[in-house]
Amino acid sequence: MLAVAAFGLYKHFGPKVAVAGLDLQVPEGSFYGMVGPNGAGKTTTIRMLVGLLRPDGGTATVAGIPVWPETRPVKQVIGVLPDDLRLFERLSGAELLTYLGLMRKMDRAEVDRRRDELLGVLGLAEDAGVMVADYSTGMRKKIALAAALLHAPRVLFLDEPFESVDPVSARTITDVLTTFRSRGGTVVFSSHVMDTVERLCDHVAIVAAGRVVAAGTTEHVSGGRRLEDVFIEAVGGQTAGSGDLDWLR
Amino acid sequence: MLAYALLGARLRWRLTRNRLRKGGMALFILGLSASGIFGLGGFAVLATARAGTDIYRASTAVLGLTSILLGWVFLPIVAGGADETVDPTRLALVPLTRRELGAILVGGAVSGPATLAVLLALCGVIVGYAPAGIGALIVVAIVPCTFLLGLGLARLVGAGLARAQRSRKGRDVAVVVTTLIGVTLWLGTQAIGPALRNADDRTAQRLIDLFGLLPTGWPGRGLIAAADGRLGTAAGWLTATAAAAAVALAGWAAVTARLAQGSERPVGRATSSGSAPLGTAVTPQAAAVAREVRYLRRSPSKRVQLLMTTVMGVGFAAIQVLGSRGSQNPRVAFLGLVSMVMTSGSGFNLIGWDSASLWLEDLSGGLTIERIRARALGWLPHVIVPGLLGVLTASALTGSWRATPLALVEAITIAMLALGIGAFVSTVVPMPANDGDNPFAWRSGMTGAGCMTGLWMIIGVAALGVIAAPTLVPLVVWYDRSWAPLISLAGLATGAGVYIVGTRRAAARVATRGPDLIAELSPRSVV
Repeated sequence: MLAVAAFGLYKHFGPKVAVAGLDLQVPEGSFYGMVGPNGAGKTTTIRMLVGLLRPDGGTATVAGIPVWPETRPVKQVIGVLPDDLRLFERLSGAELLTYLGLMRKMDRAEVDRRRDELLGVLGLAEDAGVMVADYSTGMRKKIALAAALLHAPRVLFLDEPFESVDPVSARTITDVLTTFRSRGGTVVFSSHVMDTVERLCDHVAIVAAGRVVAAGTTEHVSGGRRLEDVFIEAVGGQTAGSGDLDWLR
Repeated sequence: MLAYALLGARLRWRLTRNRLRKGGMALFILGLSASGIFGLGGFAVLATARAGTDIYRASTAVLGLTSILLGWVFLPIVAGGADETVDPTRLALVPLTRRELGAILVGGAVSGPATLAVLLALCGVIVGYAPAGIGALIVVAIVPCTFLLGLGLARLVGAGLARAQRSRKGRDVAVVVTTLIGVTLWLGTQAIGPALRNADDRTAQRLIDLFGLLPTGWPGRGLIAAADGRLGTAAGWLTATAAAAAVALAGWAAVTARLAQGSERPVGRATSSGSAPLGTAVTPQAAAVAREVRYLRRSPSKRVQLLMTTVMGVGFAAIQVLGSRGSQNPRVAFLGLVSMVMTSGSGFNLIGWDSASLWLEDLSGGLTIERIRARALGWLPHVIVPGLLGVLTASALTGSWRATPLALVEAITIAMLALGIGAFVSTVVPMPANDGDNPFAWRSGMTGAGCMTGLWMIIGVAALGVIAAPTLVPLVVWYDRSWAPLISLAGLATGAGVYIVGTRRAAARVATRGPDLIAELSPRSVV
């Protein structure tokens, strides 16, 4: 059973093709990492998979539900943690979760119970009454993760969840994600950090120029080598030679 | 220094050009045309002052230049259009001296279309006031001094506000104080025209003397003295203007240098106990309303707008009542409703607010009718408070309260009409609204996006007038008849109907447009 299936996803912005016929199959219950250089199309792909950006072509299903054209059903079974964390800045963390829970037509008592539990697990209980605008980057990531988990989604999409996050917060986020997955949830996340992907993910897809250039289990894709080496080879990266930048002291 | 100034100008235009590549050229040209019209109009008024009476020439010089300069300082602030094209904090890591940084910022500042329009307008004084001989040189010299004075004051206030934004307390104080000053000055300029038209020469001279005390009135006094041949006095006012300009520019440089050094974050503190977030809300409707109530309290932009709409609306109504020469007619209570002409557009951009967080709203159910109605209700105070206070003020000024109850009910009717029409218009031309920590910055300035929203706002207000007229006009004419309350009730029913239909139509229009709205309003804010 596939948690996410995309075929021929295509998106362009003016003359620039961001995603060029991307195919992706994410097994249910997997911890799936999408890696790729900047501008590879990872974020655009996730935006299309969660129903926030209309694709120009291709099809996508999440938990067996077609994402387009009617996006509402799929949004009931997914949670999203974006990279660019624009939240309701002038609500406190607790108010934000309560608001989103009620908007999802959840029972108030249940919202309160889950909110308090999430705030506690994520180490935000003491700052529950502080406005989101005053949160640090790590706190923002954690409250956004709480917002993504509040309604117990089946599939969680995370874009660079560990970027700009201190090790303590990163560990907390990792623990929560591991728990989520152990309960049968599927995690799809994008990252630049190969070590994190290698450590956490059982499946991986390398994305370059809007296409998947390699995909499968992490062992299969890495083939016994370091994932970073495979990645650089796959995307055609280059290293600075010793003769370059010789004016640097 | 000239090279740095040119660099600033080039930087500004490059940034503007790059932004226009993403669209909005037609609207930019519209804004450019508006600047041109202002510049030419101002030039014409000042250039033709010579043909007027002595008192007209004096009032045009002192009050005209004061209006231009104070408008330059405060209008962009209260209109949310403070220009930040060349942001000093972005140059913080470049090893520039204070003078070099100042030159870059001056270059960027003086090369904007609106600034050049001000310069064009000011040049009108050369035609309108320059006498023959050496006095002409003084008049010519007054132009750049006045220009630099306006530039320095505008930037000093803007930079000072930006500095104040760095602490929550400073931000709140700056928001309230600046808004009150700006609106009061605007009301003052509105009152001057009618006052001058109705006043005798002595009263006009008193106004000229009063405003001539402000630094913004000094160049005007120099112009009058030069035109009268009092060259020593003219030179004195020229020197005073130049000194004031130097002080303002130096102040701007000092504040800017501080701005460029670090940007400490405000310390977060709890805003609620956390024990009952969003109070006792248990439904989506209640949660949506609870959120709007909190935003009304916590959002500097919304607070500024509430303050502005109230002071401007009530002040405007008061001016109209006073202009009607203190009639004792109870009908004047309805004149208080003119305050709503200026405030009824408050709820015409419901979706543009918090557009950066639209993705979160879309994922959790979309812009449902509950959220549209909650957003509309969030703007209710902005629309209705000026109306109610305007009616009460008009009644108090006339001392007659017979028509007041009906006028108050009519204010409620107009508020409902405004919110219903506004909800629909909001879905037609949504525009990202500035709802950041700094309510005085508007980074979409110079794109002309506001012009289109403004045009639709005018259409919406006109529609409101057409819908309100069938009940408002009979009420004004027959307010004292026994059946007049029935007309009021009919008006209320109409208002409620328009509110219900307008919000319903708005929700239907955006129901399936979530991704399109996100692409339009916050393309870079999602995932």
